[in-house]
Amino acid sequence: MVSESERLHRRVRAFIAASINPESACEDTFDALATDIARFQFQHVKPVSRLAKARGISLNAPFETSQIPAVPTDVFRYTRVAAHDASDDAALFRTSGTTSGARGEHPFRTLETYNAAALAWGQKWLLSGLNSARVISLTPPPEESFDSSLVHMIALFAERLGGRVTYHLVNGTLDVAGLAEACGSARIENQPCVLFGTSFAYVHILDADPPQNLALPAESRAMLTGGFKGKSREVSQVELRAGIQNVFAIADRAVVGEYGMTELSSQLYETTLMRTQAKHNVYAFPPWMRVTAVDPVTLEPVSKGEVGIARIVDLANVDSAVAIQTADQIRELDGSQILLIGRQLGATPRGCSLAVEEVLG
Amino acid sequence: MTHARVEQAIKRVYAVLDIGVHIADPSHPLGAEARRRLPEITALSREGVEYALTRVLETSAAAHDVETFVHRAGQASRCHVILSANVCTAPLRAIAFAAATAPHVFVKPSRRDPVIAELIVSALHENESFLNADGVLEIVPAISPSAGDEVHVYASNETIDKVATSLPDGVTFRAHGNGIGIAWIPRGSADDDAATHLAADVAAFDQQGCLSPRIAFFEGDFDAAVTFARKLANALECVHKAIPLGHLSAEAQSEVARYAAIAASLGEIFQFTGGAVGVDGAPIRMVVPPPHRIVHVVPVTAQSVGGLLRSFANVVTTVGVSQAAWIESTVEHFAAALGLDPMRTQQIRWAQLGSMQTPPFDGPVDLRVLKR
Repeated sequence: MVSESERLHRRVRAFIAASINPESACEDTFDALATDIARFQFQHVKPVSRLAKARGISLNAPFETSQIPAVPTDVFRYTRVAAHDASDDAALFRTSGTTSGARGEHPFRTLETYNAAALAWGQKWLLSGLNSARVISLTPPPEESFDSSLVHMIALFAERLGGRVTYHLVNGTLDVAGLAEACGSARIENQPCVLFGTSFAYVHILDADPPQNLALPAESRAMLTGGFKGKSREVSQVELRAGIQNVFAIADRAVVGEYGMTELSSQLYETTLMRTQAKHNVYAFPPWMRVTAVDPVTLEPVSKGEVGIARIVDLANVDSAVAIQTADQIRELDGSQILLIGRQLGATPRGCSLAVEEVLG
Repeated sequence: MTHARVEQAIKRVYAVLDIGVHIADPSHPLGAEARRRLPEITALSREGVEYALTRVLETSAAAHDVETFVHRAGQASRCHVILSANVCTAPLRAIAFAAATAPHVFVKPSRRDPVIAELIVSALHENESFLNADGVLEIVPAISPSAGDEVHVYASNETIDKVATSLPDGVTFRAHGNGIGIAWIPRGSADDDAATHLAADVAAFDQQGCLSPRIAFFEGDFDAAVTFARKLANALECVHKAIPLGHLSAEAQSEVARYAAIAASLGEIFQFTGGAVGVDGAPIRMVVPPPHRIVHVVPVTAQSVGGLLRSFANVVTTVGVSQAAWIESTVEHFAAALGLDPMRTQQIRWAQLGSMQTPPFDGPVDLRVLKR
């Protein structure tokens, strides 16, 4: 099993490299890789094989990428989704939790493919033009949040940018004074910064009293990800972006949205930093990922231009589920892009019946 | 409460129950109006409404239950009630409980489903027994309690929090929030009757109530749980023929699709017109399915059920057991497994499957009380 997994990982990394660098050779196609990974998972990942069986998909018959059963993200909260045993985990990323307290878990036997995917696409849309930069993270440090895929990714980017990184969420509290000091140092050295944070962390910074001088040098940029989940007051995306621009002295186009989730190994980015005409909330997915808007009832693709929920095929999910079904509403756009609309709301009327959001997350 | 006040409270409660008799009767004008209006607003099928009105709506009660009912109520001169939708017959018991608390009752019905509340209030305006017991009942668009009054809220926990923080000092507050029912199928009791009775409890109100069973803990292995799930699916299909599942919105249909994919990934899914039954292959954490006549069957051992249920123990309103003879041992087992104290144990309604939706008229259906 491990050797088969390893072969697939190598093929995916070669595909990623070729996608980014045309000089790299790769004979694989997306569909060949996707279906080969799916076959591997049908054999070795129980939730995937059960779902395939329920959908009438057999290992012995040919199938297309669009037929690979997409595992709902919720399943990562209820059972282990992995080809390998827990004893072989190189990393176990966890979601940040829901009202019910259950956290999704995504086990990795190796992070090599994850790292390759994250770096390749992050370099293109977030880190482009920077050889070295200071990283300022409004997250806990890796030693405090070793199971966060976001924190892992930030550490990865920091290493790529020269290793100067400070973390400003310690024991659940934002360290605004330390953040101000890091921003001040960057100004003195005139070194561009890459700022990382979730929506709720940025809101806490914007609400900081007294306000601090957090202006960053030219060429700095900010990555914005995630929702609020009751951790701060909710503000509109427009207000939040305006606040970040104002407080950190960053241009609007340099506030780059990232769309990722623990259940995936690859991320999507807004392209505003590199494309002057690009709009916020429009996310580009990498060539090793395919995002399709599907009908939430039939799970079949919706007509072009219609809103559906995102079905994501991520080739870098070699050892878990290559196809993931989210509850996020999107519209497919040309050029491997999607418009992110929001999370599909539950239908359960509020009343004495326990609401689905409280239990399905 | 003085004896005279108790007597008056009991009279008011019986007056409300008498209105239930009329509403349950399709030939009575109140019953006819309920049957005309409810299918339009509840999303239940006509048969679902009929089932609720004739099989679940309270029309009588044992004397000792009514005494307990009044004993459980508070005492005030005015009581304000905020009602929720979802369970169309629920206003009767809620209004009766308010009438047991105070002679003067203000009712704020659900905007989505005001029917039963409006029928009861209008009928009680002309009910001599109620009026002779000093009963006054009013429909209000919003409550405006004063110190000394009592407020009853039947709603989501979110709404309850909002109401609680808006009340003036000196108001007694009691609320009944989100909850679910669960079924317990002990080893050796998974027969056709258990499936049929569970299906009946699921079908009432299309599973929208806090007493509706959504999870069935099955003592046995996966294969045996699948066999029971198949029986339950057959029973639910039979129920659907007699009492069709009501209208499902597009969002509700998507919840069903999402659950079906989750259940298929975890174990087994039986999906059919009018519902679904899933079986958990390797339960680690609780899955609570959406309330559209869907049951998640969880194979457990007597030892593992406590660990699985513990994180949800506070929202359990009722436990249905496949056979009456097993109830006493189930209470003991669950109380020990979940670490329930005697008070919490008594707040859960322990019932035989098939009667989860018709608890004794001895208090609110949900015996958990949230206070400020």
